[in-house]
Amino acid sequence: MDIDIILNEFTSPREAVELGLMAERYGMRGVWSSNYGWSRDSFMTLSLLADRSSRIRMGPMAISAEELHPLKMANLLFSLNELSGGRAMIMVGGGGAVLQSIGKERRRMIRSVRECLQILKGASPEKTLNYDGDMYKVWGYKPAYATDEPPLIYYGANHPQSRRLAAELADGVITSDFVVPLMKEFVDATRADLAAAGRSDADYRISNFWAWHIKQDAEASMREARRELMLRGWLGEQYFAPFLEPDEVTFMRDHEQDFLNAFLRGTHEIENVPETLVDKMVENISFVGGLDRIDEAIETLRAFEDAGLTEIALRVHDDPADAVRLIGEHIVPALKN
Amino acid sequence: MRFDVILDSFMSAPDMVRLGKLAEEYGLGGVWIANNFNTRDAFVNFVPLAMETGELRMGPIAVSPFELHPQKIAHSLLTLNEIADGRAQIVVGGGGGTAENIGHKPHRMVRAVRECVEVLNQAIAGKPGGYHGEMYQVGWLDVSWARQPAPLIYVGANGPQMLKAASRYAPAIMTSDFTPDRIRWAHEIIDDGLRERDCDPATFPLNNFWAWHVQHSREEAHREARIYLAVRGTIYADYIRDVVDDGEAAIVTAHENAFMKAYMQKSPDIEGVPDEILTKIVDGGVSASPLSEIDREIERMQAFKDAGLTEIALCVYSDPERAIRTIGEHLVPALG
Repeated sequence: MDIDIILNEFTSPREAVELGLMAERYGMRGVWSSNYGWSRDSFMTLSLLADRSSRIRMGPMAISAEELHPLKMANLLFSLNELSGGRAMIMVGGGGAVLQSIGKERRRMIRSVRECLQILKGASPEKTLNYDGDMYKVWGYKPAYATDEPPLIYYGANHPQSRRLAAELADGVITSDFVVPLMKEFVDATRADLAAAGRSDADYRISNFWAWHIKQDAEASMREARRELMLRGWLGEQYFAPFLEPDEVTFMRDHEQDFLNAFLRGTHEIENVPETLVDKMVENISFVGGLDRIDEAIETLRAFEDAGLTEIALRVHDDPADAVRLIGEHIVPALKN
Repeated sequence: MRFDVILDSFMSAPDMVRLGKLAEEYGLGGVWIANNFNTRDAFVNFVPLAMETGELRMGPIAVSPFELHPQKIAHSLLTLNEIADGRAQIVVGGGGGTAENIGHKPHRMVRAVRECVEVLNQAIAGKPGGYHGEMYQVGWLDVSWARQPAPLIYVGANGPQMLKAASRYAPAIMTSDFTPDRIRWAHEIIDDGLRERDCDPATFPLNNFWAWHVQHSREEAHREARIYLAVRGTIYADYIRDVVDDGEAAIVTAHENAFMKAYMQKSPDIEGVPDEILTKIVDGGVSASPLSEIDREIERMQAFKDAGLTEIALCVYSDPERAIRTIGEHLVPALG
């Protein structure tokens, strides 16, 4: 199983070069840039790395067609792909916080992504693309410069309908915050979707966004994980039900605002929620703790690999260079063996 | 007077680096790329040039809010500006090309461009907050990571309404294919607005997109210029009388399709339009002198300067390297 790193939303293009080259030296497969309403342009963030690296893949995560028209997305993606000599990738999403930040709302998400994937996969330097979709139009598009190995196009999909769409049109799928039992079910269903779509699963990529908080300082790790907990599956029931008791799930849902407050205030203190519950949540839905938790993380990653992941995307947070170093020194060699 | 060059939209990043470095060596002010729907993303494609140069400005011309939301424009521009250490620039326009290719029909262009530039200005000011325009909304704009000197923001304006509006808010303006007399006309429109916000019309950044076809021979220069007349504003009804008389203008207007056909076929032959009219258009509407008569172009640039142009963006075509050398060796020393 390959290892990717997801950079945090504050990463500058120069920091992305440092972190990306470090990840490349450690033998990681790819680097993702986070697309947030307040972050730098996520394609541009990786453009220096594209120019200066030689093996590692790179791409933005997640971009929705409602924030960026598929033709503009294609030109950004193909430009990054050319700069990197055919190592670009992208995760298309249905749109979330970025859409809100530009005053738009998510609409007809599956249709929107379907048309976006069709345009991205249909664009070619050899044949003019005319696309008359319900939501997006493209007239006379023929990017003659896009002659490199095509970029990998993923769809960020956690639900059956989007999973099926990914299997039909994308090069791969990326779930987020799926624990191992959920992942097993998802991979099995994906293989069935691929078969139904007449595709082989041999070259289909399946990844999972997973939060990495392990640090030398175990307490700092816990603080970071608690602060970010709201973002883990947006506290969706399906993500936590595999390891929480039903009454704990209900309690968590009832206190969503408390988790959100902690995230928005940048604090690890989640009011009105017992610490024991918070700890149970972060320990099951992310990698957290001191260096003594690395072996356990490796076991979990092996379980993900056994479940059928071809790669995993580890989201690093504060002190990203330390995180990349830990992952590079401990995780990459362990999974290669 | 600042001299910029506009390079071919289809140019690769390595070629842009080579030509941009040459432009910087010759003391040119900036490099522009025309934003085109079938080309590399201009922001990404500038990144290697940004890393290889230290003085040169760079940016796309023109990006429309009808193709890219103003907040996305702000993020792309400011990320390029960060990589270029404060040397990014952009022309915001109300068109046109790319928007049409994605099925978007520009409307209320003056308002759209104004709101777009207001979003960019708000981002550059660095104060987090929302923007609630009639056409564009930004829930929350926070680019506190952008700490470089501000990028230059031009409004692409040719018509009186856009010029007048831009004079009241634009940090800079770029016209296209304006003759020196037309630049005087533009100043008549924008100067009051500039003074109202305490901008000196004499020093306000006013740029003009101008086609540069200087070649070894006059024939060669005119042949190249004729091919591209369809994409010069000069041949269209509002501007054609800047270079020909009324009777000649009527002939040109009646044969607009022939200009487009020549452009599509990359041919200098424009059916139905007499040579003497084409010669007048080329002589008056673009720079198409032979190298031996470069002084004529220096005089033209002086006329632009006298008319109130503070900078000019010369669009170069075949052999861009030679064009940059010619501009650098002749125009920059004379007027730069």
